[in-house]
Amino acid sequence: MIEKLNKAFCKLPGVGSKSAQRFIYHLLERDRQGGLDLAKALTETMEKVKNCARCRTLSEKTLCSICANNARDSSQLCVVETPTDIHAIEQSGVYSGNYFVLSGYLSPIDGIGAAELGLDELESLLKIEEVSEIILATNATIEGEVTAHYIYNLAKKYQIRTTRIAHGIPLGGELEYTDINTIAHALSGRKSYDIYS
Amino acid sequence: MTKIELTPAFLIHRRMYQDSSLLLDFFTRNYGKIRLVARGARSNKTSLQMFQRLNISFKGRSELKNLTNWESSDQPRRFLGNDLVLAIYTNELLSRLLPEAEKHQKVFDGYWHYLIMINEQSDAEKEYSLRLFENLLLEELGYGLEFNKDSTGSPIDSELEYQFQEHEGFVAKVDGNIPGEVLLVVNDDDNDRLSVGHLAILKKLNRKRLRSILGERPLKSRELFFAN
Repeated sequence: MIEKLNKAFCKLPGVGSKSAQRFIYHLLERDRQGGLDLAKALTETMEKVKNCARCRTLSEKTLCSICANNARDSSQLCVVETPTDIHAIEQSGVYSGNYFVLSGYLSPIDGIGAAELGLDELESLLKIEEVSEIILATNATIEGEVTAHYIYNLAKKYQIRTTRIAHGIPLGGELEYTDINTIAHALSGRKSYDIYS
Repeated sequence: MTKIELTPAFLIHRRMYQDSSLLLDFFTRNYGKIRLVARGARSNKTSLQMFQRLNISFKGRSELKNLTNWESSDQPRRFLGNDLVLAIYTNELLSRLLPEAEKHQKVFDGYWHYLIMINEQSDAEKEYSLRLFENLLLEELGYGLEFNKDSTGSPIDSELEYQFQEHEGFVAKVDGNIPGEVLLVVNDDDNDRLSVGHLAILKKLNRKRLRSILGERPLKSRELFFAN
């Protein structure tokens, strides 16, 4: 039984057999109630959390709290790669539109195409909803750019304006320690200083 | 134990590996296509870019070796839009067609040349450059074609039409879909004489040649971005 649990813990990222053993002995010897609570919470979460029917993020309800919130600006749609990206953007507090979560990024070599990412669902969303701007917030990797380009083509079909989040020097960052690709990117995407004053 | 120091390479594919590592496919000039692990690289991967000539060091005993060091030996190169599509299509070709650990320096040099060119060329020129790169890749892998001779060994006649047949080559046919003129342009590498219609013919020709080598599984990037 312990062995079975050990294997189950090993499924977690960053957990090997040794850490799993530590968890198990801790729970068995010191915190049985905690172990039971964990088991209960885990079962409940695994059974009840599904994908939001609209934006595909993780949610207990059919519609996630962001999609269900009427106060949000539904004309803006921000496309991200994972649910944790939503969390990151929400924490910044500057965005009040809706989201759409892909299941990762396009990777032709791995055979991951449009259907695997849920891009068909994005297209049906664009058909029925009045979206006036798609914000491409996929990662600044080649794969993220490829995905962004694909969505741009899709949006063009429905005559929706597409924007891409800016990439460049991180705040508090120093040029000297920034890699050349980022510097090249930041320079080519420079903005008129007027907007700051 | 193999230990290689700073050898020229291009990163052609990467995927996540375990928690914090990356599994990287490199096309090296001296060792061909190899797969390496970059341990703990996920948090520090900004300088490991595709489409940029790198120098990489790696070592290891087992088949899967470790990337130990890398530096860029190229200027920053960033592709957007259709250029990006062309570039990832080329990477998919390399990934699918190059055999593991087989040296192909001509393909490596051709690939680099091609990447430099895309940024500067017109759309038609880019398309022709891609065809030339495909031709080079096919030739180096042993599937080369002679563009100045037909299947019987006679010279290609610019007035005749030809059809491409696998294992045979160009066969003169009254209802052929490739004008001899186009083949001679490729043979002479004289792209000034190429029209848009000619480019479409060459695209079809190479698609047919590639299909017979790639087998059943189509190229995904073509499926995604080239609907026609």
